[in-house]
Amino acid sequence: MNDIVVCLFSVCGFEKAAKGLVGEGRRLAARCGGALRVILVGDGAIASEIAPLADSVIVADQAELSEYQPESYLAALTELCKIQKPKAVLLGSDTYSLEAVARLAHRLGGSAVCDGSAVRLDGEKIFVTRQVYGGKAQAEIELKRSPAVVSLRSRSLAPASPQDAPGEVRHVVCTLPPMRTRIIERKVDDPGNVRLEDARVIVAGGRGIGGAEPFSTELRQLADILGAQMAASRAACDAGWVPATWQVGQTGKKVAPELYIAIGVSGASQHMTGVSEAKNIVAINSDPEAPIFKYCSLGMVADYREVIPLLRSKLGLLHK
Amino acid sequence: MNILVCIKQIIDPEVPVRDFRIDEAKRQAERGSAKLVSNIFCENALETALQLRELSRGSKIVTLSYGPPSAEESLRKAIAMKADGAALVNQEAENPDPLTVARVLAAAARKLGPFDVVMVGREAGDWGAGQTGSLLAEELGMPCVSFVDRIELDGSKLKIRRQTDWGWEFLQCETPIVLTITNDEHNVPRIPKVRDVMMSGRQPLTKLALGDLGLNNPVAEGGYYDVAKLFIPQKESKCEFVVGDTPEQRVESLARGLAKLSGAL
Amino acid sequence: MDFTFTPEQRLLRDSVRELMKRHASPEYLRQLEQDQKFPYDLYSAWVEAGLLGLSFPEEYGGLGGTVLDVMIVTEEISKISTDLVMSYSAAIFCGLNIVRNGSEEQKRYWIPKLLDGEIMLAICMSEPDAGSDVGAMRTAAVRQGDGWLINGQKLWTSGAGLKNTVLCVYAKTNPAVHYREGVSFFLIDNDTPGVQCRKLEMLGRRCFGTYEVFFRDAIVPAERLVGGENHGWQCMLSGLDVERLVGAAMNIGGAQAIVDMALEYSKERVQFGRPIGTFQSIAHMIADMQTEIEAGRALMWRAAAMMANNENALKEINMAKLYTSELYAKVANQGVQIMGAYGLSAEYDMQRLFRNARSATIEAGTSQTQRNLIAGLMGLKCR
Repeated sequence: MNDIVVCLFSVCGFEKAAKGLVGEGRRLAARCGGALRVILVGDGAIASEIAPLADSVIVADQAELSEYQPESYLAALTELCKIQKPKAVLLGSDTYSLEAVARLAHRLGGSAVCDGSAVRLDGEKIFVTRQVYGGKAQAEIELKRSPAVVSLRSRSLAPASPQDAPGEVRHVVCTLPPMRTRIIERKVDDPGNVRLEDARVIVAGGRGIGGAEPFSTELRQLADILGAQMAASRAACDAGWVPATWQVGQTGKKVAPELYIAIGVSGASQHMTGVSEAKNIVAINSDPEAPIFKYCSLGMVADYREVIPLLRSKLGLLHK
Repeated sequence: MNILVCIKQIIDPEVPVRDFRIDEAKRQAERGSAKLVSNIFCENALETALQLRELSRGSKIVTLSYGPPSAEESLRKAIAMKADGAALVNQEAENPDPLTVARVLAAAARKLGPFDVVMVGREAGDWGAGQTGSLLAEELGMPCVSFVDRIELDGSKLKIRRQTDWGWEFLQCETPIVLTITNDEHNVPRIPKVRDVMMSGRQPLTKLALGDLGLNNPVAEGGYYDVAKLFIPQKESKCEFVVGDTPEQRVESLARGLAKLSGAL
Repeated sequence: MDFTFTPEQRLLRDSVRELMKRHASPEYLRQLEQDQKFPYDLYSAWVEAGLLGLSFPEEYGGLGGTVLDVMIVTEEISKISTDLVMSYSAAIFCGLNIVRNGSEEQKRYWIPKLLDGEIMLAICMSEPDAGSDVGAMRTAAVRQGDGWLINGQKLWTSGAGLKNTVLCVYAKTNPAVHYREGVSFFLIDNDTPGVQCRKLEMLGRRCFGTYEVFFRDAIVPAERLVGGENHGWQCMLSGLDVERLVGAAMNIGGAQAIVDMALEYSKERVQFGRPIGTFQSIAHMIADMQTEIEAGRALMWRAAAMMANNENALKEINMAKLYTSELYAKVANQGVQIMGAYGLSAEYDMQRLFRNARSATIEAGTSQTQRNLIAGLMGLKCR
């Protein structure tokens, strides 16, 4: 079969990432000469938004699936993918998708790749490009089993164009196993804020900040003047200075801002791989040898403590 | 509680970009003069296990590695960190795919177990496939929770915290279970005490071959996936440093640059 | 001939490296240097990890390790700071001195306190008029009742003024005879009434600090005399082997840090369109520096292996001290040269490494004294 399946979770909404994923699904389906089928697990409200972009939308919206639970959602995806017998299954790179990818591939007898940046077809073969070695290299992976189950960084992928006629929306009921794991509480860190992945300007602090306090004072004040979101390197998170949700990098958020201001961030490749889609990077670091200066377009070698207060007042003046 | 922690030894991921080399023909990184180290997330997993053992008296931690002979050093370090036991399954093939690794680890787990909790790092610092834990869970028929950073006991179950894109979730989980562990301020791996380092060489370490696990060929028929190409993309970088004779002038230059790039002002 | 470390030694080395990485970041070291403060928290981390206990006998709470283990630890710490490592090495030599020469009671009293981090030790030997000529010392200890009354002045005492520090003081107890028969070894709390420490402004090693110590009618109880009256010289000599080997490890670690920094710089610094490390003059310099460090390492380890094998290694140990100390000072000079004006700038770390290196050829036996010793061991008594 040459169909492409895209798996979406309604709890994640139909935002940039999901739209990009559907767009990629459409492009792949066209190249394979197959249909694009979107499997939507959870509440079916957004199905009508997706339908114009796909050949069919299969909605698994029974009551037990109203809330994401790892095992039930995986079971639903598995059952529905088995029915579709696709050539490839695409998922996003959000938490829920990432934890499902390889397990889904295993259950379908296919092969998985996580955190891909591009998919390429060569005849019957499917290749996925991804960053490896902490962002220091790129690999092209050939998936040997079918279906290929791929999680993609889809925020910067183009969305699909609406078709002449919307795809069929079908509601299905899946057989769900008893759950051995259950999410009992969700905690959102900083609910009011723009998500880092969507932020236009980001102020990030690293190990060079030296402690927790400057994040909430000097860096926060700088971010406020610039209308920026705040982020951090892994070192700052591991030290407990900031919440783990602020972490940008290989194992943190992948961000794509217009401007990324890195303060006291050394610029290790594992961090920079999370910033690879940033338009401009500016760095302030007291170490002139810091690798960060290889990535940025504008840099200053200085102790941030001596720079930020003055910088804030100058930015304030420019604002006027 | 019987806990299994899987540890992968990798080339030091802290090698600076400038010194990083790949062998394009072999499709892997060149070790050069870099050290071999335990994958940090595997060490976070071990640290999490050590803290869990403190909560659950009588628990035992076995560490397991599928790797070449050098991986023994990672296991000795785990012993020095006070794991109760260690086993090394000899790996002859270079860079096995995640499914192969999962099959070997599963077979070893069945031989050394049964285990109530199996912990692996969320991904390895070299290939970063991020699949081994998930595939291992499937091979063992266990549920899997990913990106775990804290574990508490909850009667006969576990209360687990895991990181999500937007914050955290708490899960109540039955055992046996596979957990993939991520880094957190509380699971920074402990540095072994000198006394334990000196004793580490004398502790028993089980060495296994694939044959001991009843696995003649753990690779899936036709393969799972191949690295078709490995390359270092060329990067053009031009960093402009702020100009100015005085610190004030330099900050002025920075402010102008930021204002222009952020476009907001 | 096996030049490799055992897996345990490699793990020990890596653990110390990790510990230093966590507790002594470059930023922290710069701040300490600026404040000229000693990091008691880092010292506590060493105590907690068991690094101090490494070379002490198990019956006093130690781990019964060998001098090789101590050298491994010393080299790793020295790569980060040869200033801070001095507190570690002082604890080792002075402590081992007590183990070798103290009474059972003294050992059971002092060693646990040292290994638990309750006290630190500092050696108090040189005076204004007594450097290489140790015997010219004038600080005197006179019997007073049950104890001793100490008067005099010590100079160039590293770490003497730090918290909870006990001074290992060598004082004349019989000025009438040759110093080899008239000096005694005392353990004196640095906050004893009559003892005053004054920190000196020195070129380097500013965090551990170098002090002047004045003794004005300082009263010291009898149990503070170690090794017996007039046996101070033997006490002093008994530890010199270990002190010099560990000192060699310090020099090698310090030198390696300099070469690593210069190497990094030479790969990054671009002049005339290419990294300066691609110019032969710089590349050859660095090649030479590393080669000599390896030679120093080999000499050091050979001396250590001989000592571990109970062979007479006096000559090799003194050679190791001489060679590695001069190498360290030389490499420091070259390190600055390679970094050009950046090597002179206070905003970069090379100048600190340079300043901390210079004392290596002066402390624990000047190069000149070392050469006398070596020639003497070869049968040449020179003047």
